[in-house]
Amino acid sequence: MTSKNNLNESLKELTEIVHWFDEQKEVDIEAGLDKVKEGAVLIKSCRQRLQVIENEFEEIQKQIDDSVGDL
Amino acid sequence: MDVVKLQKLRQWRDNQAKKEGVDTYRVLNNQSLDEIAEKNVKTGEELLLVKGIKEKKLAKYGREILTIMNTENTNGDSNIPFGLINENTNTNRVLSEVVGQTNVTDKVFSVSVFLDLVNTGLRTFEVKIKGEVTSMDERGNVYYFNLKDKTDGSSISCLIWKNNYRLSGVELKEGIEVTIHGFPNVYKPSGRLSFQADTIELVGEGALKQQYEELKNKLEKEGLFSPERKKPIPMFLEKIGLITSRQGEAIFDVRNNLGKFGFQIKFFDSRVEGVQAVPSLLQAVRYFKDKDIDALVLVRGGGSLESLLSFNNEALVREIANFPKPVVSGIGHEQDVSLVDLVADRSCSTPTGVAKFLSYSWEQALARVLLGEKQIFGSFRRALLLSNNSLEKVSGLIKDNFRLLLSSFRDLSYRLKTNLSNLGHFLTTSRDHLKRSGVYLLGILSKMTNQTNLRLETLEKAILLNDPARQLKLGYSLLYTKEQLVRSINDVSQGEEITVQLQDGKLFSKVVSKKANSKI
Repeated sequence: MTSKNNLNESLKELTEIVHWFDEQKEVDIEAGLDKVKEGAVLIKSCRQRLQVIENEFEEIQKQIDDSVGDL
Repeated sequence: MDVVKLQKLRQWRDNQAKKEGVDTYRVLNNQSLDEIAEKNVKTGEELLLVKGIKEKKLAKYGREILTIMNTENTNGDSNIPFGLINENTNTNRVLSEVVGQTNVTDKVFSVSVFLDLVNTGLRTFEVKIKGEVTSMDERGNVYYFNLKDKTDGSSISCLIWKNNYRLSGVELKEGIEVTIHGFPNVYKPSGRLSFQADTIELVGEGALKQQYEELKNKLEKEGLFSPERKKPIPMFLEKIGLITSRQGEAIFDVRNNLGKFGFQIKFFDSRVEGVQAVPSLLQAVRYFKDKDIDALVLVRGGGSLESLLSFNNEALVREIANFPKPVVSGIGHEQDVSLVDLVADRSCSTPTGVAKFLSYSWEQALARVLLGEKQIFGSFRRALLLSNNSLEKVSGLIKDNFRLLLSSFRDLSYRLKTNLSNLGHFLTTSRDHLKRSGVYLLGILSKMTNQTNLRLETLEKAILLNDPARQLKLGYSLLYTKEQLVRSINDVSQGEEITVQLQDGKLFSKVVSKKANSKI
């Protein structure tokens, strides 16, 4: 899963959109709508990754190997 | 299958593992035990056929396994003492079992085979012994030293492989007191008994503390703990290599505090207690070296300097320093921070702290997404409201303007209408006027014609009255010289010929004389 990078990227883009809105003195509705659409997609993907996902836990099966101690 | 024997085998195996401080499967796994019980193995040769048992294991455990297998079960006989003192064991019988022959009393052994047998027996004396280091020698891959009992001067020669020596992290010096772990063994070429140690640890809190401080200073000077060396821990870690003990609290602390962000944890169960844990920890760290993980996590619950010896081990510290991925550690400690914590790229004071650190960026991300969502939609809603307002304003303006336009249109159209009707009126008037003017003009014209006619008549009368011919008829005549009409006597001279015009013709005469009228 590369969702980690996606998440990082998505968060960055999301922050950029927030900044964009902050910077506009007067929001152009059409451009704003595009940004909101973009933001909604990002939020959706972020939320998808950040929803409750059970952790996977796997124990390494060690080979029966006495040699380690005697190296 | 002899279930009682299997149970005994397991009991022995578990005890042995505890004694060696290793996992049970490292002694023998369940499958091997099952197979031994199933096949009712009675001899060393048969034992070698069991999966998982080779010469090494045979030498190490053969005797005890065969003792169990060759001892008849008796009622209440579920707890046979094994190991150092085994009164139930007949040496000869054991030897016979190991050798695989029934009758050993009469057998003559070669020195070599005998020593092998002795060593097999000695292998069970796996213990920890304590004493003072008296002499030291280094040969090839082995360190030789003597350990002396301070109380009565008893002495035993010992050896340790350099590799294990390095792992132990203790510097052997004459006079120091150490505890070593291992088993006795006869060196066949010399027949000399020596103790084969696999770990060495210093005895006493003071010595341990000093060792800790010295190593810490040394590694610090090398720059192993410097901040520049530390790798940044990326956000949103997913794949985690976790090293700790399956038995400790630490693993639960980590798992319970991670949150549920889909971590993929690969767990390597390792010993964590005492210096014996070093090989196990090293194996674990090395295992993860080339694995696909985002970070390595090493945790252990709190403990004394002695119990944390392995986490102050030079070899382990160096292994971690050279680990290619970021390392996060959480070694609970009572006093001094462990050297593993110092060398790790990030250390937390407890395993719980590590778990919270790992999930922090995820939790932050969630907060950021929620906040971002609120901000973006909030901003847009405000913008919509604003534009809605301005739309309303504009549409109001348009309406106003339109109304204005409409009213001015109405005004204009009214004016136009007025003007048009004015024009119509004017036109009607003009037409009437024209009509009237025509009549008038005609009147004037006829009047003028009449007048002219009248005048003409008068003129005609006047002309008629003044017609010379009429005068001539009345008896008047006209006199002409050759040049002109004669109006005065001065116009002619005596003798001059003149023409007289009469009504019915001309007379040609000559001026005889002339006489002017007398003046009145």
